[in-house]
Amino acid sequence: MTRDELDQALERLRVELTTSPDSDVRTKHLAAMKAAFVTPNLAPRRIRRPGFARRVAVGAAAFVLVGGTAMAATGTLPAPAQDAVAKVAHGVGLSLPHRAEVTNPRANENPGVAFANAKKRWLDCEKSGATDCGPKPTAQGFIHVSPKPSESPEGSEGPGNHGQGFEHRHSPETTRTPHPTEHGEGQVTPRPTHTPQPTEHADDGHGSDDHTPRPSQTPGD
Amino acid sequence: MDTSTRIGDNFSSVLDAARTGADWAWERIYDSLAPTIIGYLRARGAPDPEGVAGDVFIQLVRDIGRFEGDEAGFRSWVFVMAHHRLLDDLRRRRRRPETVAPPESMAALEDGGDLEGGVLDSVTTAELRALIETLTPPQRDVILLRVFGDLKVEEVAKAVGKRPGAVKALQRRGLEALRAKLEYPFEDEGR
Repeated sequence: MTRDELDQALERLRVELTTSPDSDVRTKHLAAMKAAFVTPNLAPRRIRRPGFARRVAVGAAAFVLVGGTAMAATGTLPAPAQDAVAKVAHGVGLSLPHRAEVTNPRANENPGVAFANAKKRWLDCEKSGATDCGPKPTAQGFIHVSPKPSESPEGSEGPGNHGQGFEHRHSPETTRTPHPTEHGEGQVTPRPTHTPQPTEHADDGHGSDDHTPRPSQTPGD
Repeated sequence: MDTSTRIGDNFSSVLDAARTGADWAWERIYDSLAPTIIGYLRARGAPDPEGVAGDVFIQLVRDIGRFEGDEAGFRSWVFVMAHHRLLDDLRRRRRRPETVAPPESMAALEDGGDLEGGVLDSVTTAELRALIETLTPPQRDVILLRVFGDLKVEEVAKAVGKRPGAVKALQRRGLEALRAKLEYPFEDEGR
């Protein structure tokens, strides 16, 4: 059989098997196609819903996050929540006000302003003739006056001492105890690199009790 | 008798109308494709070619919005669907085996023509179908898709998931095997 004869046989097979379906089958198929066409119109709505819900959820989460952060930063969250948020924020290096700082608005107030306000309140109380106004506010109660470096008892810091010691320039402490290794201003004696321990005294003069041979030791030594 | 008809120049308007759900467009597409699809499924040995063809046209309706191309591309697109639905059907039937002889397809073979010529042709066709069944499945897929779907090598390659070169080789070997079996039909039985 030649290739042409085979092609003719296959063509005959194609023609004979290619027959129109029965009218019943055709009607049934077309009805199924019409029914299938209606379904895709509904399907996208069902598919779109999860996307819409997801967008709403993301928006709500973003709103809560931003709003919560803003409230936490301004200290307007409820006290327990404010404490919890401040604690967590402190763990990551953020400084947010705690409940105490929030409930006492004057906690962060400038001392001078606080003194002026307290004095004003006391004066108002006195003017109103009240008897329980308490003692008159004094500046010492509000403003902590730290001694200035120039008021240091040492008082020896002249121009010649500039740059002699880091601690003198930055630490106004007057009761500072000198470090045992320090002798005088700026002089530092090298700390002993080895402090004999009680157990080592017992070995003095007898060499090391260590049985591990040192690198320089050889069995023949 | 080739009952399939090409849509021709009106294809794009028919396609657009079908996408809007026009009944006449669906009927036009169905009438142009159904005979060839069912013929392919019969030749491929589908136990229920009309049932599989129904599944193919339902999928066509659902996916027609994603199709882009001309009529030839559309036909190959539908044949790829038919091939896949047939594989699904055969796989499903393997899980639930049943002995089905497609009597309607054999009856269709005997319809029409003069008695003597029809009998001769039907015998030859039945013999050819039996020989096609002896080919390897990839050879059978390639030859029948080429013959019935009139698909190009590249389109067949896409349908069967092989490279075009492999499809050409399968076609050549399949045709050679058919020719050899038709020349020496009892050769295999003597071995």
